Amino acid sequence: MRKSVMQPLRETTLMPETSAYFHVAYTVALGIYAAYALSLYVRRKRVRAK
Amino acid sequence: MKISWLPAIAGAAVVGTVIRAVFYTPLEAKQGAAQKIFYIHVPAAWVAFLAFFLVAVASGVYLWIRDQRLDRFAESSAEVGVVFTTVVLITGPLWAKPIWGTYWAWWDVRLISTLFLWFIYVSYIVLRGAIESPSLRARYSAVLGILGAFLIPFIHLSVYLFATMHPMPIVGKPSAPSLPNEMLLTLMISLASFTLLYAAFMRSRYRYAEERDAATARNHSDA
Repeated sequence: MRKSVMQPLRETTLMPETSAYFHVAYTVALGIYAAYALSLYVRRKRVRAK
Repeated sequence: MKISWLPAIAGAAVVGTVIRAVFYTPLEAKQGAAQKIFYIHVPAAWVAFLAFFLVAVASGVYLWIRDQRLDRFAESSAEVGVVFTTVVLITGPLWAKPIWGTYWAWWDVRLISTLFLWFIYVSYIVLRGAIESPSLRARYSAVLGILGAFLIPFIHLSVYLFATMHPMPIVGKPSAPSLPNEMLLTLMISLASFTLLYAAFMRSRYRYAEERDAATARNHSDA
């Protein structure tokens, strides 16, 4: 059976270096949400101008 | 200037969630910082499933009572769902690479079925753009919207049914969550704030559909 238990890190010396992936993931995800919000704003503005 | 409270609250909630996840939630012992992708990946998947489930419900009721508002709701929810599924499909591989050693595995049923789900609802949007008649467009897309949602329980259960690289559910399972309290609280806050973001997107997208239909009706009456 595959385990799925996450444990918080208590000793910083054990920390694997995976922060680049984390930074890219957060930037891309928040960028997609911001771009979609902007696209909705622009589309509504255009349709109102018709 | 008129303030739209729902987008403002949703935006503030998402920013607050990211600050908590990044600065006030402990790193995971074996995965390090990459595990924090969990707090945006899982809520995006939850919202995508919710969005497509609501497409199916609105579409089913539309086929029954033929109310145009339900078609607009389904159309809006499908588009917002595609946005959240895109986030799932990008953040997942970025989490997988440092942990599994690969961005993508074509034999992993959950990955492939989530990609299929994305294709189905992208097709739904393309289909809507290709049909001129509003009633025909609403009917055809309602059927596709309902059929696509059948993938949702399959994706959730895929980790039980097949050998996949995805772990067993950590929170959405019959027994207690396998997550320390501080991580569980961040996840719960994240689920709530991204659901709020879904509501804000939906309200804006639905109003756009209303305004677009009203503009189209005006143009037809002028012609």
